[in-house]
Amino acid sequence: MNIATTERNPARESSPATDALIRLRNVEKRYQTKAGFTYVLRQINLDIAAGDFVTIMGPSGAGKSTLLGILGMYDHAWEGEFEFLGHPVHRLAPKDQAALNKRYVGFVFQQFHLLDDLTVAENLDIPLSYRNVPKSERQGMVADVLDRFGIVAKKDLFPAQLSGGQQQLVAVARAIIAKPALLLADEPTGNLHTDQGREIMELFKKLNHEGTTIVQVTHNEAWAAYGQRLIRLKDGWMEK
Amino acid sequence: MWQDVRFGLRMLRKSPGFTAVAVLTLALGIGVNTAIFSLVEAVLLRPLPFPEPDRLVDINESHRKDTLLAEYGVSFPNFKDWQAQSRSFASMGIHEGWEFWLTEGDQVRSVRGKNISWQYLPTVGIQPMWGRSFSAEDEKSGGVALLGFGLWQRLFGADTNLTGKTIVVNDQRQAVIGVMPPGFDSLHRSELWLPLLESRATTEPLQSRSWRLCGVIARLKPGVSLHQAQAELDGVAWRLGDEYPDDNADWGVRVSSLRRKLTKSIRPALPVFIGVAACILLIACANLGNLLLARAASRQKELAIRASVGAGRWRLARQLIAESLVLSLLGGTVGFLAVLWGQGLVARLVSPYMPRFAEINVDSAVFLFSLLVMILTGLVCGLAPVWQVWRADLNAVLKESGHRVSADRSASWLRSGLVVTELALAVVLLIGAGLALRSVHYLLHPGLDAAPGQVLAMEVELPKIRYPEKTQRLEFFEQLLARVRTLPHVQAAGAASFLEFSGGARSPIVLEGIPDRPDAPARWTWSCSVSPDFFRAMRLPLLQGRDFTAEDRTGAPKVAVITETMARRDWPGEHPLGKRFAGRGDSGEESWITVVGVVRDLRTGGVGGDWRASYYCPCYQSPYLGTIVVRAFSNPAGLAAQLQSLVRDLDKRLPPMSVQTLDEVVSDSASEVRMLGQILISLATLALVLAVVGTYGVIACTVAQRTHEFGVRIALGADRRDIALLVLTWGGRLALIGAAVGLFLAWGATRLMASFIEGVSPTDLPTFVGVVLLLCAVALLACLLPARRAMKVNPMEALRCD
Ligand SMILES: Nc1ncnc2c1ncn2[C@@H]1O[C@H](COP(=O)(O)OP(=O)(O)OP(=O)(O)O)[C@@H](O)[C@H]1O
Ligand SMILES: [Mg+2]
Repeated sequence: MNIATTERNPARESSPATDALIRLRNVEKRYQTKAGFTYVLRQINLDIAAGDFVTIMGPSGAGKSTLLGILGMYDHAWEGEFEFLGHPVHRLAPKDQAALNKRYVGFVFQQFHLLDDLTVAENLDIPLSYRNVPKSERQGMVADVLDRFGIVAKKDLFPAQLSGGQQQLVAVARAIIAKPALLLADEPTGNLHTDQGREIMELFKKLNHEGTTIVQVTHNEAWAAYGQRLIRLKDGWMEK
Repeated sequence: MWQDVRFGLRMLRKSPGFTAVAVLTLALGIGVNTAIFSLVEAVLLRPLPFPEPDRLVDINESHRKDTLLAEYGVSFPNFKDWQAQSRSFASMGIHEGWEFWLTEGDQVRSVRGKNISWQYLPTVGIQPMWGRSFSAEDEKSGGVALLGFGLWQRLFGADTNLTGKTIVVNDQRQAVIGVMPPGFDSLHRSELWLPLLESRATTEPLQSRSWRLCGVIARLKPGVSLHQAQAELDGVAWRLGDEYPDDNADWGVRVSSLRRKLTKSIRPALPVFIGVAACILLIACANLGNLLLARAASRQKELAIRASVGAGRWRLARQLIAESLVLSLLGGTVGFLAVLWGQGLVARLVSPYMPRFAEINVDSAVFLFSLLVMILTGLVCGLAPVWQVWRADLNAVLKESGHRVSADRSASWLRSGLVVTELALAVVLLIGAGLALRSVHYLLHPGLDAAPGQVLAMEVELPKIRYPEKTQRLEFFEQLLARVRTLPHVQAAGAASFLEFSGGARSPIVLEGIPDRPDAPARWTWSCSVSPDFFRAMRLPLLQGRDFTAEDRTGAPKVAVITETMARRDWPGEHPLGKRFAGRGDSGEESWITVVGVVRDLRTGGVGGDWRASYYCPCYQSPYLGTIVVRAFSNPAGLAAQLQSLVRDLDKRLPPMSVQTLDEVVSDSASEVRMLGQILISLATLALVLAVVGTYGVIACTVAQRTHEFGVRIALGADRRDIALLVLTWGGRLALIGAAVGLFLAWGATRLMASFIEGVSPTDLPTFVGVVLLLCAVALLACLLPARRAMKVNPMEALRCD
């Protein structure tokens, strides 16, 4: 599968038979434990159209991160049907799922997961380096993003030298640098002050206007309001 | 402390895999060192088994200009003068000759033996086990013999009664007057001694000052140093030079300690062995250090808890070092036991180069050395984790129990450094082994044409007592060759005085028309008598001229076939056929030898052998034959027995002669490098295995530490291939740095080997390149498993926070 990272909005161009970007049918996730199976997600049916801005909420342990992992195609071990842009993900080999992820998905992790040994700029460069972007262009793109997030001054620092909020900012920047069609954000504002949180939300809003589909997890009702749709999860069940 | 040890043991029992690898590594390192030390001790440290052995010296004549003659034999008259004119020595003994013909039943065998002056044994300080030693009287009358213990047992069994025991030596009956203790025969390799008869001393050539074929052993007076003795004899030698300029001009004396003399052939190899042993130990230490570092890293939490309940830094250090000591003692004991069990192996490998009484065995000195190495190893290796734990902020470990403390960067530098060291040392050893291999290969291919395995060489020793005349011996060879040629499968057969790669004789020559100036370098030239067809049997191509024929007889003009090297040296740019030369000092028209042919060179004489300037003369003019060479059409199985029975047919009283293929003769000539090569190759392989285990350990550990990073990278779009590549490049980089450092070290270290290897430069490019490639390949192999594990990292799991 070839990569087209610099396309402005691949999701809109390549609309297949269905206009849904994501289509989940009876998706279930369970873990084998000593006491038998533990279900983490139950009968998830969900359609997300290209250009949506969806918020997922729910108590801790409800399965939010798990669902995001499946949407991001990091997790291959679940049951049910999942179509992504018309591709039957449930029938794709992990390798092909990874290729889809690489082409379309950006992810903000709950714990940032910045690499300690790399500087801010180098962290931002990682996704580009795995997407065959020429070196010359990469520098420009990193510079753009640093500028856009107002962290140019921090570019040569290591993550440990940043505040939690700044780390969060870098994590978001890294998720969008390859211009993904779908942005999955697991509590992107969890560590931020209200002001900083609002900044991120405004940024999401802008990205969404430009065509990026966004699915975010948050505990904050105010941030949830930025989305057009709200999905509540509880004990693995979607509340209607 | 005891408590620390107990706790250490418990920890080791809890992780048997770690313990097994560590103990094995140490067993190898310490075992190899113990074995090598036992060798070094035997050669350098253990006193010779003679009374006051440090006073024993060996004396040689030494030519002041010709380095080839720097350590030469002694002539009997010169010995007499030294004895009379020096005061440094308590006593001096002389020995001469190397074999006797001993009649056993109806057969005559050659036995290694010596004629000795009666002072010889008192000088050494050894008495016969039973019976008596020679007296001054015996030198006049003769008729008595001393036997080595082994020979005594062979001839007379366990009988200790000497009365009436006689043996027949060189056809003369001798009364056995004493038996020497076992082991004594390895001094000067002799098992039979006869008195050096004064009557013989008055006959030529023993009485000639230029007949330098005796050996001298002497005992310094107490308090006299080697240098004082040397200085005194120097003075005597100058006087003798003035007095007898014809024979003694330019001849000096060299006094050397007996120990040095006896261990001469093994001694130059010791630095190589010691270096190799040190390398192996360092590699083992680096490996253990790495293992301990990895363990300390995974035990940070335990150590932090200990610190938090009040254990001071020293307390922690003591515990870590106790563990490391326990390990190294365990490993060392295993290694030491292995050496005890296999001590014969080393001895067997080096025995041809050691006097037999310098037996290699494990004694208390070896044990102490081994123990010392164990303790040092334990201390040094224990320091690595101590250093790491002291540096680490143990509080941080506890506080952030959830968050992974980013792997201590300097510890991982240390670990990489240790691996690089291991790899570099392995490279040095591999290059050493590679050079030895190349050298063995070179020596085993002395320029012989195809299939030297199809050529048999039989040494035919004819007892002088039965064949006193040269013509008798020549006749024997002619008859033998005639019969051999009628055997089926025989393609060609010839004879020579000796095969060049197994020895030879050398003398200076002069060329016709070129004045022989005494200050010009002597034209030392090897010579060898051969029968017709010898060149054909050896497949030595005649490049010019002709082979010998039956016409080249005594009385006919003397002729020779010379080698290319001699042609190049003596008549450069000229046509050598028809040129004449003569032995230096020979005079008269009949002494000139005419060149009638040129043959291809044969490389000769093992290490130090080279392309010789040498000439062949026809056996009819120079009748000294000793070896017959038979080329068969196919593999000559069974031919050896046929040859031996032909000899028996001609003379039933001859002992069985030894038959070897030419391959074997050649390989015997390279046995010294082969021994070195075998030892180096097995140790280098060991080093490589250790280094690879070390590399694997570090890479695997790093992969484990970097699981999180790999997870993030995969989540951000890295292919599995990218991740594998990351691991492989990292391993490859370590290997390359290790190789570079190793090459640099080897550049200097292989010089130690220069005197052993032949035909290959100590900085041989193919060896260096080959070893680097081998190392990189093996190192990458060691990275494959960790790389596969890295590829399998599941981002979902790696990114969970727990
Ligand atoms: N490897 C595993 N084995 C068993 N159970 C697991 C495993 N991984 C996750 N779980 C369970 O899955 C459930 C959902 O986890 P998930 O991380 O999706 O929750 P969440 O909604 O993101 O919670 P939070 O708001 O705290 O981040 C949890 O109850 C967790 O215990
Ligand atoms: Mg979560």
